[in-house]
Amino acid sequence: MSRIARTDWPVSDIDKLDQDLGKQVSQLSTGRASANSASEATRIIRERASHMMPPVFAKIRRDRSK
Amino acid sequence: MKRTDLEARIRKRSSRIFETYVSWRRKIQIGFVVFGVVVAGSGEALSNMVPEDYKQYCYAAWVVGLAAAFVGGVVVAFIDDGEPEALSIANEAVSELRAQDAEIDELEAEFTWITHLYAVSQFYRELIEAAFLQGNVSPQVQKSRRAAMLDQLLAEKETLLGVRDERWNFAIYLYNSENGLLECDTCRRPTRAEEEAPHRSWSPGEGHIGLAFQSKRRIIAANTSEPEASALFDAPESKRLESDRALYKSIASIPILLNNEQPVGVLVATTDVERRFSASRDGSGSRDSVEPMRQLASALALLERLHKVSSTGATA
Repeated sequence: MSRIARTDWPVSDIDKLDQDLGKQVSQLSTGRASANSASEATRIIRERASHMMPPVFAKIRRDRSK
Repeated sequence: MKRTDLEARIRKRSSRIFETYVSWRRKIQIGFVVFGVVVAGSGEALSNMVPEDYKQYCYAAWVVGLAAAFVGGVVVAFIDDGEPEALSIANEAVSELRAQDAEIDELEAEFTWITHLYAVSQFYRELIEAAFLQGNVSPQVQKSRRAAMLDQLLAEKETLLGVRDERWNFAIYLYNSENGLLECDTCRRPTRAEEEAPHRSWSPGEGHIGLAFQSKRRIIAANTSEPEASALFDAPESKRLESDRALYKSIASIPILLNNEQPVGVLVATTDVERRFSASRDGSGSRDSVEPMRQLASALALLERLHKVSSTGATA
């Protein structure tokens, strides 16, 4: 049985989002952010918000759009 | 399944159920009447043919028959639910479905508001953490941090504050101890020209911005055109502009302060739409449009304190 490397241990989706947000925020806080950083931060914030929405609403939306 | 399809299905199905019910009801009604007539008629006929001792049974059959005919003919007719009643009940079911649908939409909007507020707060927290780790920075960098925080609130202004296509204005005013004025540090408006236009500065106690700073409390007016509000929040005559009344119909000024200390400034939001900002929820399920600004003001206060501590070496 192959062993999974420590570094390959799965990272949760929310942790990935927080890591990405942290990268953008780090740039924004130094005042050296690219034009893209703010919009990228906005995208991550929205994705994080969607991630936290109860799945039942996504199901209702899917059912309605069918 | 589409809403209209679902409603049509409910109506069709309800109609079918009631058709079946009506059909059975008629069968039962006919059954009662026929049974009643036969039994009552038989009782009547037999009463003339049987000996006296048995006549009581014939009369009993006659009474039972009449009662059955009465139930079939009269009572069942009173509980008759015909096609109009069936449709009415189906319509009620559809109305209930629509009401539930609206409730689900409202719940979804509430959850969207909460999750976006939480995500934006997470951004503020990350930025403050980064600022803490970076230590002393130039005032220009500090200003860009404040702008970045305000920009993220604005990116979510429709979801969090309900601000749409209107004449809005969001600004951070900071107190300048050298001249004793609250000066515009960062301003966001729908157009660049409006943003870059000169901004008025306010003394503590002057206008709603100065009042929020001086009293260390949130100043929120849902409708500044109401006489009570205009008496309190109008700018002094010398600083008043003709456009103020039209542009600033709903205002929110939140002091930027920690633990009821002296504020470092004021976070301001205005719009030309009445009741956009309100001190209390109206009970109709609308979201608290001031809470996202309160969170930003708290985060800004913390950011400013960190900057002060790191730049002067003062204790927190």
